[in-house]
Amino acid sequence: MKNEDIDVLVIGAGAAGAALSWSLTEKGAKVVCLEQGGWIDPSTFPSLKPDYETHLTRSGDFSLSPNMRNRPEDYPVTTAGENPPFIMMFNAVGGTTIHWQGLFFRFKPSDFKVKTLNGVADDWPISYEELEPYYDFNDAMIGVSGLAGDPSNPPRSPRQTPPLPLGKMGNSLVKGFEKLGWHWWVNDQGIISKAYKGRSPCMLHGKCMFGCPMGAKATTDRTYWPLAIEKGAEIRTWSRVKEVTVDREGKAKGAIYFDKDGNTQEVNAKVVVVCCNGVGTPRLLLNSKSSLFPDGLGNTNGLVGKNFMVHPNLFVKGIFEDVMDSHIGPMGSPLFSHEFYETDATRDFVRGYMLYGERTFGPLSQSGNIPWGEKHHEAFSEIFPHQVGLTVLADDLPELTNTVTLDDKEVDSNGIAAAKVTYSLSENSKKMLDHAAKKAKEALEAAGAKKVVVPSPGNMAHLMGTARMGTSEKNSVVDSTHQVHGVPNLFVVDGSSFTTGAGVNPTSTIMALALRAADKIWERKREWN
Amino acid sequence: MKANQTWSRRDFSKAVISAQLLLASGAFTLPLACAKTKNSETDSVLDNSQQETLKFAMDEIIPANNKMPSASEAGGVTYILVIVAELPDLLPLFEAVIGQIDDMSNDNFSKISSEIRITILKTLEASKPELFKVLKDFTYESYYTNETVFKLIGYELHPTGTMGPKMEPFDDSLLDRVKNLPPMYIKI
Repeated sequence: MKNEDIDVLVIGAGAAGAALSWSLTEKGAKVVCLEQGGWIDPSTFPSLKPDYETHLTRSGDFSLSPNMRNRPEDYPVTTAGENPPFIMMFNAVGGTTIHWQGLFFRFKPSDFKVKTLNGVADDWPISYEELEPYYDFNDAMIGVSGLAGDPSNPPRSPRQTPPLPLGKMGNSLVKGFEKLGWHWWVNDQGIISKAYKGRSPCMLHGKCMFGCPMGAKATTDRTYWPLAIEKGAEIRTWSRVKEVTVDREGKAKGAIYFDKDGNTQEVNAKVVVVCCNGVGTPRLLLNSKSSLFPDGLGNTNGLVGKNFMVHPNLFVKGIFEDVMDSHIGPMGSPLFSHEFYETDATRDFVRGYMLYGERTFGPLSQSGNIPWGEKHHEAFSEIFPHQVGLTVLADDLPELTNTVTLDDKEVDSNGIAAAKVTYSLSENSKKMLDHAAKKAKEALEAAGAKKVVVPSPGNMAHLMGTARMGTSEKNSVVDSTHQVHGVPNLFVVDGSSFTTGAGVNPTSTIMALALRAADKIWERKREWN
Repeated sequence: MKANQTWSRRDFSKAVISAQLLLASGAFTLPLACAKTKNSETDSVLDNSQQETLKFAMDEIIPANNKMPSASEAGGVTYILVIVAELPDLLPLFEAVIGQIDDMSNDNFSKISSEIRITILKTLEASKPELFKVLKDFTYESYYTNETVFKLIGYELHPTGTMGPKMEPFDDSLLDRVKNLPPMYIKI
């Protein structure tokens, strides 16, 4: 596509960029997407190799962490704060969907109105009802396995494919939840259990985070992008954006980027949409300084990069006498409990958390904390294959002190300032995790665990909140249509748009928001001329 | 990975980065200084004496029992040799570990008692934890990526591209109680 013909310039080819690019192209827009990574050849996925675990856990090309992976297309992310998070992302066509687990939760109605309901944080300027048709549409586009009818969520349309199997570990957790009389339900997953739209069903190999060459997992390089490209969208790979440019009136003009050879290129468009995730988006906006925006584009009120959320968690483990075979079956989670999701006035924290059964990696990953020496085999055989994970994922509320800023020392391979993430757990989160640890232990013991291990808090590396949507220009970076305040043709669509983090995995919501944003952008097409 | 399997360039690239990160940490100043005293021909392999020390060290990390082989019996030394032969950047790390152990045992590590070997390794673990971690992690890696070990611990690999494991389909009736719960979400 010639540069002068571009209607919409999308930056980032991950979950949001793919869905949005497809939707706008389908409507007739001429879309170009700049992606700093390339296409990942599925035949190179570690999941095809006997030593697959080594590819994920140490420095190299498939590590979850960009700092460990350290490819030229990755950028460093330094961390600080009382609870510096482990940052995970993937920079390629498909973005982080390349190595995600495929958990496909929806936010609940209350997640959009926490200020009204609980007096904390801020309400979203949109409601669940407004997003619901986009959730449904996205599910139909990519194919979801699961089961409708969960009483902890509003009714939803029948799932495209049946639930994935629970396995021994899942069935054991069911016994625990049933014994306690708690809520549980089988997970919606962005992994198809039956063939769907030309993609093969999951064959239960269980190495989803090591790449799914089958295409059963809904990575956007296998779902939205082929459709978008067929309709005329163009992806320019190995194109790292240095800054979003603006004209004299303060409208977005386009972008300056480095191509694979390190040459600087400039491209203009009528509309610019930033879809670089909750770390990459504020990094790009803060790096896009001009005389009109000396503190970064869209940062007139100083909120770009503030309110970073990442989902505090606990990987609680139960050790059972029986064989659990937690490494068998689709990685991620077969089932979850929302027994403690909504706010309960009798507790000493607001909002809530999710418990979900989590499968394990293979033997190498499980050996990590096993002592060496004569007791090694005894200790290893106690946990393998007898371990069941019950992960806590806590609602993350925004804090102004949790931030993404520019690092003043580190740069990427093109010399662009790296991102620095600062994060500390709030008192509310600490109380929530304390409560959750006790409840996870209770559930595992009810399921028959002879021993329960509660580790220190970690995080899910869900990158959210740093260019958030809000009810006014004072408390947000973008409005309800994802338009950046004060820049009429610049939009931010990804996890950074989240006003609050909820207590569930975010990808389904990111994609639903992207489809909705595409509609909102298209509705203003007349402004393009 | 099988001990005798040739690494791909991607694997090597990963390991190079790993080594670079470890080396950049500054934890291996002494080993690097030692490495410089060696000539280039011997930099690419571990000699017999070094292999002997490595074997006995790995076998204290993961010893044999009545069911399981030791690390070296599972091909651990060969696994390491494949790495350092193909990836010279990792060699200083292993030379450093072995050199430390040899120094602490007066070059007699393979001949002293198991109890003393364990004491030496515990001392190394306490005094140079990053260096000891290289030995431990690569020993574990050699062991728990070994297909013989997989069989002994009952782990079926099911690599993607093969037929996956058999699992019972989800039984909807498990949810009979929960299905009848009243709505649990807050209606706005």
